[in-house]
Amino acid sequence: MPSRFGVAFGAMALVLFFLAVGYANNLIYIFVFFLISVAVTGILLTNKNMDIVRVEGIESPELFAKEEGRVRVDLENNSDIPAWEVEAVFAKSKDLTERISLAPKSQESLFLRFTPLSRGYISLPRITLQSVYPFGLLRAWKYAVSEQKILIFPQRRGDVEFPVDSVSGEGMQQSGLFRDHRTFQSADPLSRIDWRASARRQELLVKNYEEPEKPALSFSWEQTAYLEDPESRISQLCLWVDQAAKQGYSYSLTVGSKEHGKNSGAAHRQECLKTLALLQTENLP
Amino acid sequence: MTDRKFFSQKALAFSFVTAMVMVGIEVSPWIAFSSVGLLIWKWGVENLKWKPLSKKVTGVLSIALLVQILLQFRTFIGQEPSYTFLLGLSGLRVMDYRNERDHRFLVLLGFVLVSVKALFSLDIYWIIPSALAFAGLWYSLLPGALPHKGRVLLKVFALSVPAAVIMFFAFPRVVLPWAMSRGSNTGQIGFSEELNPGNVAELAGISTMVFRAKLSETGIKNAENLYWRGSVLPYSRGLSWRPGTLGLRAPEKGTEVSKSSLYEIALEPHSNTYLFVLDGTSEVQLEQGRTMSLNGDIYRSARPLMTTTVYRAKWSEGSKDTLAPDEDYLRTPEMRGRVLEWVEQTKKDAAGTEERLQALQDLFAKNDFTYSLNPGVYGGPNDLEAFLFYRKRGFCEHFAGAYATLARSLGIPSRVVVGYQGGRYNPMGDFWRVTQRDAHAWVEVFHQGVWQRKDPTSWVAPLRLVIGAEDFFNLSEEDQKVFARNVQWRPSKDSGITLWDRAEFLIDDLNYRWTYFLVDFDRSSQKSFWQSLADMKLQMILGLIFVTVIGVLLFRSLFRTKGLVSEERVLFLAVQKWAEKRNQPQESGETPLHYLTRLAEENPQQREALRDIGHFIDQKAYAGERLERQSQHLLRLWKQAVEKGS
Repeated sequence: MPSRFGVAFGAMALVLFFLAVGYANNLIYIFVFFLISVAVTGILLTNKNMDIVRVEGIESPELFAKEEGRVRVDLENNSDIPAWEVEAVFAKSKDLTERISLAPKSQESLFLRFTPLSRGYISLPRITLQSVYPFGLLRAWKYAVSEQKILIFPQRRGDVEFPVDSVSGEGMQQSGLFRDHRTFQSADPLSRIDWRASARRQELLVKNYEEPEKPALSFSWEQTAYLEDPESRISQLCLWVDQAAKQGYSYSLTVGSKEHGKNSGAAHRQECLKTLALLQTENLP
Repeated sequence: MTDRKFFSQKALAFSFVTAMVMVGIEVSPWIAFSSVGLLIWKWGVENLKWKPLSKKVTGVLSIALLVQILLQFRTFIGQEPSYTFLLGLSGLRVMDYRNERDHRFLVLLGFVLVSVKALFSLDIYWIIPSALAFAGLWYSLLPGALPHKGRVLLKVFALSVPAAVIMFFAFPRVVLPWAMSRGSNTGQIGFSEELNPGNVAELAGISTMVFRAKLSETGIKNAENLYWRGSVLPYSRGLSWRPGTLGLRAPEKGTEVSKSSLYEIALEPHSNTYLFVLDGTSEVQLEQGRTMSLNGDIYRSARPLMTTTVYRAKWSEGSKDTLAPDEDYLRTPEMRGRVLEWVEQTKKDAAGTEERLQALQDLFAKNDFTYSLNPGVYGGPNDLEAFLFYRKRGFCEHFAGAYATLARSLGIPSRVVVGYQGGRYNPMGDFWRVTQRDAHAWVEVFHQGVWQRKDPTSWVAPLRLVIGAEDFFNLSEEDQKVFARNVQWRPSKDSGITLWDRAEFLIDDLNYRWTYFLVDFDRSSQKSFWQSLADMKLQMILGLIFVTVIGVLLFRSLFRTKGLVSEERVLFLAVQKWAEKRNQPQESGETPLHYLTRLAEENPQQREALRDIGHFIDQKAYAGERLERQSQHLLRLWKQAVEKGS
């Protein structure tokens, strides 16, 4: 498909062609025919350039509703020639990625900015891979469609502070629990030397302690009752879960009949966020 | 869009300014200097932080430019208005240049500038700057990050040539029923069908080429014998003469001229219908139905000639016009004063036509007339008297006009012929080059049943006819006066044709060939070209296959494994390709170095080469060593090892 410049170029070539015919001027005929010929060669190159680019996959890290994230498009060039100046854009968007070139037999990735509008499973909009190499006259493109739906987590919005009733005594552990010994280093305070153990091992040993454990947090649907809009309540819970995970808390989440017990780590966070992303609010109080 | 600087885009700046200069030298100084001013201003804006013109101001100036052109020229069509508009617009658009969109607009404008230059100037001299500008504009469109841009462009051009050539030769030449005017009334060669005192002298003051003629078949060798007829003027007003309706010539019914030969003329465009022919021409072949033969041995094209036109004409020595004149050819304005006295006296003294013609010749030959390009202005009620008896300074048109008027008043039917005399022979291309300097006027008198040529200039300044207008007018006015009647005298030259002359002849010959064979490739030459190709069907098919194969191979090889591929990768790919053919592909997860080691173990004959390549890749890709030019050597060794193994 011709680019805007391509259309303007075509119009100019047409005018020059009529000039050549009108004036029966062979010099302009030569000029116009060579101009057109170079343009056509350029167009063939544009097509060939896109033809050798293949989409290996479309990957997206976690995406939150109404927050800008990045979708990665993995490209591969299996041919013996380089593919120049390839860019990508989502359908109906004008937000082009930077242009990359793929060496022969190589892979590269393009990153597209993407802001999902709602939570839950969605299909990614169609991605257009395109290139105007070499002269910008023609835009050759190919579509990349992700067949798998991707999960969009709810928007992280609300009060950053955890609710007061989320902190319970249960699960609180004393700090400074002994873990093991290690060799003394010059920067270690003398007070940490375990003299008894050192005497036994014939070398200076210091005590290693566990980090002080943080209180476990409990998040529940009810804690967001002060918010009227169910989506706002989900967003608030999402924000708390995300914050708790970031700050290294153990936390539990109870939403209706769904319950995730006290835990921490990426998998637990993922489960909680997934529950929130797919939450049906009709039957909740 | 990112900000761009015009003068930082070297390819664009160079090619666009070249295109502007090509057009700029043809326009009025005001627009040329304005454009240069805008370019300097833009340079100052980009390099010295001068204040730029805003887009609003350039927009207003663009409109003002349009209005100015409309007021000055009353049209946009034609060389000067179009050049003025395009040049002014170019300067303003350069001032506006800021982003990629502006860049592309300038590229398109650059293409238009180059093509409009081609429209009005077919000379070969413009091919080089035009080609440079053309290539530079395309170059500037290539992505900035692309390596080896020049090579890429060269390849694209090489691939484009066959299609362009085929299109040029195959595209049917359509001659539109309406002719587009170049917007000039007098035409490029400036010839007009009037003989006012000063007209021809004005023409002869410039050296623009009018036509080139190939006369090899005619055997004419001397410039003296070359009288190129343009038009015949039948109406006398004394010193000046006017054109009249000549009427179409009746088909020949006389005797067939025994021996005739063909000659060819490549005439520059002049937006008019004149076809200049050699004295003694009996037939002109332009394109079927496009020529008109008029009484007085004058030929016209049916359409104004907008482009360089080639025509062939039949010439025979001694061929004369025998059409008897009517009474109009004796009509003169009323003779007065000393002119009347001379006419009355001559009538008494010379009774027969021969004697009267002799008296006329004597008048011009023996009265110390001066042949000059600058004879001054003649006017007033009796300009003939002022010229013949007082000032006695004139150019060929004065002598011809006065002679013909006097001849008529003596009862001899006569007419003035305007055209060109002589020309400059180009020994390299074997053609004559006729320029405006050769503009000439002479007389024909009807005597003894034929129109006979009488050239008063040959009595006043015979040297002009012998050495040609160019050499004659290159003399100082004093020399012209002193040596005009001395036909043996020659301007001193070092030794015949100088090196400069040779170069000039060569370039002119190239230009002529360019004009003749390419620029004037019209419908008939296209037809004959294809006909000649059709006659060589087999060769053509073979040739086409050959060209296609070469084209495909070029396309495949030129764009293979280049550009982004590093030299160690090229080496590795060569090995990989070889190994795949031997069913030893790289396994998934196998690193290149492991793969090469495995191949070396499995292929003892190539072991050494594979180890060297492995070492090179290790050093270059992983250790970051700069091992310039070693890869070529290794590639050669690798090929030798493969050949040895097979």
